[in-house]
Amino acid sequence: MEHTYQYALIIPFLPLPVTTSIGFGLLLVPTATKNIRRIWAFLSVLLLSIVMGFSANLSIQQIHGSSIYQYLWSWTINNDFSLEFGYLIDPLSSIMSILITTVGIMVLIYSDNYMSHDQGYLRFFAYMSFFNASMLGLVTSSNLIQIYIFWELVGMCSYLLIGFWFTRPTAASACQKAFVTNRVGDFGLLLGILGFYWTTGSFEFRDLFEITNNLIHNNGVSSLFATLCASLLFIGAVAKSAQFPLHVWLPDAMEGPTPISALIHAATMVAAGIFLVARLLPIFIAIPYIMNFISLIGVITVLLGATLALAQRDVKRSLAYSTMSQLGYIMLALGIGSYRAALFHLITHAYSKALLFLGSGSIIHSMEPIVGYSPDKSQNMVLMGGLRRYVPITRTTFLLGTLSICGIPPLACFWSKDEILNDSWLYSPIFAIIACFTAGLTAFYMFRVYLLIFDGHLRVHFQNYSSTKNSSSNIPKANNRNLLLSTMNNKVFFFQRICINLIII
Amino acid sequence: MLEHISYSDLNLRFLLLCPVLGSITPLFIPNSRIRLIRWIGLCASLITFLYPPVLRIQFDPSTAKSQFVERLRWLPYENIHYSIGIDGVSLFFVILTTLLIPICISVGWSSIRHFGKEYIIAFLIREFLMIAVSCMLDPLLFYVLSESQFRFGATPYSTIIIGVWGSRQRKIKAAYQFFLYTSLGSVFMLLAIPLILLQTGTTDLLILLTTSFSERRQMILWIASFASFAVKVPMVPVHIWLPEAHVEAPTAGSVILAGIPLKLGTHGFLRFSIPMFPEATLCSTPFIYTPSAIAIIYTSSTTSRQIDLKKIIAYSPVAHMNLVTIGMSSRAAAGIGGSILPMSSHGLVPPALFLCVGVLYDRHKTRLARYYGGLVSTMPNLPTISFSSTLANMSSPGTSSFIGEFSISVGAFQRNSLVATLAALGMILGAAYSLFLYNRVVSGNCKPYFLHQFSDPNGREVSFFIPFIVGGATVRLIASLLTLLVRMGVHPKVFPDCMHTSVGNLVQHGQFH
Repeated sequence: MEHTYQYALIIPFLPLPVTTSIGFGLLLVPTATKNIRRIWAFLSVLLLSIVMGFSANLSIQQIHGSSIYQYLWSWTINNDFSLEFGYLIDPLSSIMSILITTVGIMVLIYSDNYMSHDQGYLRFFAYMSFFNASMLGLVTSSNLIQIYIFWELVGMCSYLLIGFWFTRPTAASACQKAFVTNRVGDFGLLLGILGFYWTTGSFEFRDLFEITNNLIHNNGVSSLFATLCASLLFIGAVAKSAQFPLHVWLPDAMEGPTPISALIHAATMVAAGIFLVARLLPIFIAIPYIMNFISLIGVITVLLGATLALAQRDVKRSLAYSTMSQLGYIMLALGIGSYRAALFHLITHAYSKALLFLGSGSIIHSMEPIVGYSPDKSQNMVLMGGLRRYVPITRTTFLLGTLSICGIPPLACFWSKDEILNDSWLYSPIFAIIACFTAGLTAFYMFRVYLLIFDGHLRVHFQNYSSTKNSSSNIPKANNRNLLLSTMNNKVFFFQRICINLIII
Repeated sequence: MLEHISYSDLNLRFLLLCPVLGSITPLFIPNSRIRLIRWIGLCASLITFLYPPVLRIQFDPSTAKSQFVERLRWLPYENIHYSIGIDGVSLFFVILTTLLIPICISVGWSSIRHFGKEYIIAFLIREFLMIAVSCMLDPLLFYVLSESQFRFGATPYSTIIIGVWGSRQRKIKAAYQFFLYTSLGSVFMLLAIPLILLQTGTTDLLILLTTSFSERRQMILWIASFASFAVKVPMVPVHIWLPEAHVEAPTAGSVILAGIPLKLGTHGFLRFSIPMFPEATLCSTPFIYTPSAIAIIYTSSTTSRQIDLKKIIAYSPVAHMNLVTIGMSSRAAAGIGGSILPMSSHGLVPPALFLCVGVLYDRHKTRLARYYGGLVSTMPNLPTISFSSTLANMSSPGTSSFIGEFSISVGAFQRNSLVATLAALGMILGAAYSLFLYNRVVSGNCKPYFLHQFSDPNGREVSFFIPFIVGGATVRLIASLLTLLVRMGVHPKVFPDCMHTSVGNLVQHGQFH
């Protein structure tokens, strides 16, 4: 089936027409573009589903035996220095593209309704399509330069999307923080790429792996230099996947709308760093020091994320720290060398976390009529409570997501997390004890989130409640508000419920 | 550059005559008919703009020889001749110049109230000088023309552009500083050229390239020319003139200043220092690397503290040009070819940014960032344009500056990894300050205490200028700068095609290993 492989180059470029047409439409014919806003959403979903079908086809072929396909063409020739571009379809990239496209489609359908009353609806879809295109380009890259280009593009899209509601000063500073932190990682990534180019003379993955392995076995390159370059490459992944020193942007990135938190900061962009490490694992495996370093950073992130998540007041922030912790698990698994367990957990976590984020979006939209539109109030878990009576479908799906993340069988994350914990016992007991302990912490903070939101009673009424005074005046108001909530039941967005259901694994 | 064809080709003569004629004609028109003068200026610059594509079509990219060469006898006794010719690198600078001047003239269309006629004359003469200096093949005349762009006061060049049409009181000091700094550097080169003349008896570039100077003499000559070029690059201890000059200049002045004159330093390095003095360049590589690396980090850090929008944009050329000098000294093919690309893209990015700031300045008469905020809610088109330029300033992939920066990093890393690391640090800091500038101005809340009226660029231009096409041309020309940027970023083969033969020749001839 060489035939279909040759057309694999359209995978990254298919979502782009939406972006460019919305962009030009808004500049040249704004009224007409805005009148057909729902059609743009439909078009983005349609294009992305074509890509999904295509990548599903490719991955089925991968399973049935034909393995790696790479196709190249050259872009710039500056005397002896030429940049070659192409795509590489192997099991890793096909599974990642399935992940990106499926979560992307769900999030697009969800955001059609979530952002329907937002003035920036079209801008949102343009940015989302651009992000999908860059992410797909990243996973189908065949050499380091291409990965670097799409890496930066993904970072730029993240900037645009986090700062989507640009009139909020906190959003403005958050998007800047995200971009500059990612830039620090890009600096490391660039230097690592250059270092490997210097020693091996090539950017292509296959050449890189072969030559590096030969050099290391024959002592052709000083092991210090190889370790340095590998750790520089890893720094790029650290920034993008919010690992320990460069994790600071992820909680602030929750300033963006919830669909992008689901897509970018749970499923895909943070997976880009993991993808890079997984892609370069043949190099890393040959250098033992870097593997230890990766697992060390992973385990620190696991513990740090979990402990920080215990004390959060904002629902999206606690989910963000939870993401950070789970990504630490994945990085730990990669550092141990259990590639399969890491990628398995990446996928299961991506779906579960996207489910949780979309559910939280539904909750936030439900809280907004009561407490107002400020994220301080509408995302504040302290003010929520007892919502299970009013939003039962969201409650069920959120519960399933929570159970999954905590690793309860037979839900998805159990299998992957169990494999990681198993492998970590074989690697080092200390890491394993920390990882198991954190699994317990995970259960604790995830259920804290769930119980604070869905169980008990709506605490927004009891804000000024004190035991001595004003208790009698509060109760009549409470009755009125309960009536409001029960009518609100019907207003929970229908599509959101469908999407959430579809995401359940 | 190695072989000259000794005939006179009229192409370049036409190219140079057109702006001169355009600048002389307004002298005969009284001051009251300012609109006619402006139209004449604009037409002259547009005609000059239409000509380089003709050159490009006739250009043969497969040879490194200078094409369209014209030689005239000037001082036969000393064997100094006027010879101009275009090769791949100059072609792009010529195109850039002819693109920027019509933009400058249309930018100053209504905001220049006094001395309007002199403004047009000044810019057209400036255009003539810039095209001439890009084509000039004779070192002495190159020196004369490049210095005249910066200093000589008799005719309106940069100093006067800043001094007359600048916006604040500080402009006098800035013009003065500009003059002094460049004089300081150039006087050494003025001493170097007679020394060359004494040894070889001619300033013909062909002969000079094949002359071998003794090593000690090479060092002296190299240091002398370095002094001149270093001020123009600008390198760290002598870079202060750049922010001052850019801030005090009018918008069009900054656009032009960022266009060609900033490239003169690196252009001079590329064309004269490196080929003529190869051993000296080899020995002095650390001497170039150190100030350049310091400059990148120091200026990028300083920029983060600035509050004047124009100053922030003005500092970025310092970092870019120092990156170029690092690339050029790396003596690798990737480094040198890569160093020409930032020079070219640099002619497009800061002008676009200056134009955006100019649009803001025209409306609100202030450039302090603290007064701006949340512009995207009231002027949506301007941030779209400035975001693309900001991305290019940060060397984001997809823009033209990325390839250059990347090639330079590859070349530099192979020579000296520490310097390459420091240069790459500039990448982080560059992103920080460019994005900081963009973010502060565009996002966040509007500040209604300071700014009361807003208008999107297009609307304002239509109401302000009578011919719609001239008014919208400002914004449209910014858009065309953008497409050039993106086009170079996406399909850079367009330009390197012409350049790479010349670059290859340069590398070979410089006897680099």
